[in-house]
Amino acid sequence: MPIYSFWIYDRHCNCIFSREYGTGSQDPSGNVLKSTPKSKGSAQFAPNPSYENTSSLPTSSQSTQNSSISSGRGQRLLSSASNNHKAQELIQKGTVNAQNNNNTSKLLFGTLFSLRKIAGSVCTPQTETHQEEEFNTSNLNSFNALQSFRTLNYKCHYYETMNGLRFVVVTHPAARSLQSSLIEIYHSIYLPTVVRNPLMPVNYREDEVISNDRFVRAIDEYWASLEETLT
Amino acid sequence: MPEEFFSKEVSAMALEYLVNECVALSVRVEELLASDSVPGTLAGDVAGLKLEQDKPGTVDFASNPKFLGLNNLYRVERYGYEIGYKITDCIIYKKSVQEGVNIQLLEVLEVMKFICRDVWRMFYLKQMDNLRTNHIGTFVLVDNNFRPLINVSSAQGDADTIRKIQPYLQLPCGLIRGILASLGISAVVKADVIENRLPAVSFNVQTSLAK
Amino acid sequence: MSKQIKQLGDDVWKTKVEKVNSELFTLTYGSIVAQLCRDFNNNYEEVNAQTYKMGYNIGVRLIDEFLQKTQLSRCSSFRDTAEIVSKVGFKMFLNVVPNITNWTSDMTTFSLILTENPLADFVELPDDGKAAKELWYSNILCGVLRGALEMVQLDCEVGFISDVLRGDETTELRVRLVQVLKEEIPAGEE
Repeated sequence: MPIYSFWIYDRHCNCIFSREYGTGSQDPSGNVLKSTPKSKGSAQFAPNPSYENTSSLPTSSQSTQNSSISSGRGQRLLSSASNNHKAQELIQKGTVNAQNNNNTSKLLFGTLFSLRKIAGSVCTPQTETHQEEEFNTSNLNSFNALQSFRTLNYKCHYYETMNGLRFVVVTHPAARSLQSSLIEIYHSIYLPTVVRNPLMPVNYREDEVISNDRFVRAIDEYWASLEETLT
Repeated sequence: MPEEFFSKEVSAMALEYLVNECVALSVRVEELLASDSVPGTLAGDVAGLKLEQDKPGTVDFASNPKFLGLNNLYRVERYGYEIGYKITDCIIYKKSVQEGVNIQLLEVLEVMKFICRDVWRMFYLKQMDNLRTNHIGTFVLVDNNFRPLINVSSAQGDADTIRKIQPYLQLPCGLIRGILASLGISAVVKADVIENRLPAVSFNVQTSLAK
Repeated sequence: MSKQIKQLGDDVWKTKVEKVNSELFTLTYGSIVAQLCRDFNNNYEEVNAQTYKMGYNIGVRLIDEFLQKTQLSRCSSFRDTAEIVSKVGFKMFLNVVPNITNWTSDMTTFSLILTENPLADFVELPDDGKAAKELWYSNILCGVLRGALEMVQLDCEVGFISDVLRGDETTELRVRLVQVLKEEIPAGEE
């Protein structure tokens, strides 16, 4: 299964959603991931012998913090109501919001953040006034927006909205560009389920995550439906 | 002038956000009125110094105990009532002048049909799905896909969603009550989610037959 | 550029927006304001604050709706921002296009003149002598603009200067760019 994980970061640089899919994935920072059965954060994660988490202890203590807002729901295994067999398979091996504050998440964000800055500074147009310069250097200019980066073992796709929401999906390195998919997720899943939902915040405090069932299900179904068409 | 009346439009999204925000506003107002501070001093901080946690984009109001309190429900219902009371004339005018349909609203049943068809179409872009009556003053209006509730869901699960949805159901209740009142019919309106299957909602209207 | 923006606004309004009668909107808002005035005993300062806050909350969400339907890229100046707000923003939600005037020389402040205001159609302010001096009826608009612009890193002050409901000649909103917000960096980043 070529989709490894899906992350959403907000404008405050916090990870407000992380979805790991139970596949042979590797930590994007290059370390191989292993979740020990003892670490609380990945209690429901099917242990995979090819993983090895070098920082499993901090992980577990930080992941449990997430549950205080989402009252443990974020870490429970999803039993999908979807009839889609592939979706079931995908979902049963994964975790929801168990990785939000761990090193993986921070490293991933840091990498993307730096790449974005580099891309932007390589290609800024001439500006005439001080104000234009301010507008240009503001993080949201899209003169040279980062789209993805690829290593030997994975490809990381990135989409940033103008209001600072960052959508990230980590896949098999041979996957095609998933920019349009990330945009699609923003428009047809995030917007109806979170923005138009008066019971869901759009401004997240430090430990708050998106733990809404409907949202997670929609995301899972979306990625499951894309599985075959990824390369 | 008559041609211009009722021909202007706005985005349905704008109205939907406005209506949803009413509920949050209602909780804020309740908080302010419950505290004994002098009104003048509160206006100072526009971002709301009194409700420090209530930053824009958060949903703290939903965990506020007053959210499901009677005062709040009553207040939101009142918003709906005022709207319903005033909108009836407009809708009737629109139908008779612009569409040339002569509405006879002599019987309560006719009024209920008017609500199911015309009012609902205007507000929620679709008609009510079902209207039942016991012919002695009680009506049940069923909307299987109630527009305002399509996207509402709580992070704590379905049961919690149904609990938290109560204030949002009060506004259409008030709307119906207001329309009936402006046509001289007094009624009690309650809303329920049908068999816990959001977004299907039924409105139970008990009219009093006294003339 | 201006024509393209106007065309975009018109297109979005025509093809991507579900519409309702504006009277509904007017009456809904009117009921809210009326009830607020009663609740706070005609303390119009408080009513202004509450409608502003409502708008602020709506604005931070409305921006996503805006971005979804328009898919615009970043503005390169505040002047562009003003054009987009007026010709696309106002158009797609309220079906009005306010005029942009009164730019300051440093291009940080402009005015929006609303020739039509769906919030205030057929509205009359209470005749208690205070309302006409203290109440900004459509203050929710200020909050909406503030919230939406803040989400795209523009910290602005938005307020009414005049309102036909108060007996003034025009309804004028003043928007001032306080600063372009610097993006946040992750905690612990050097």
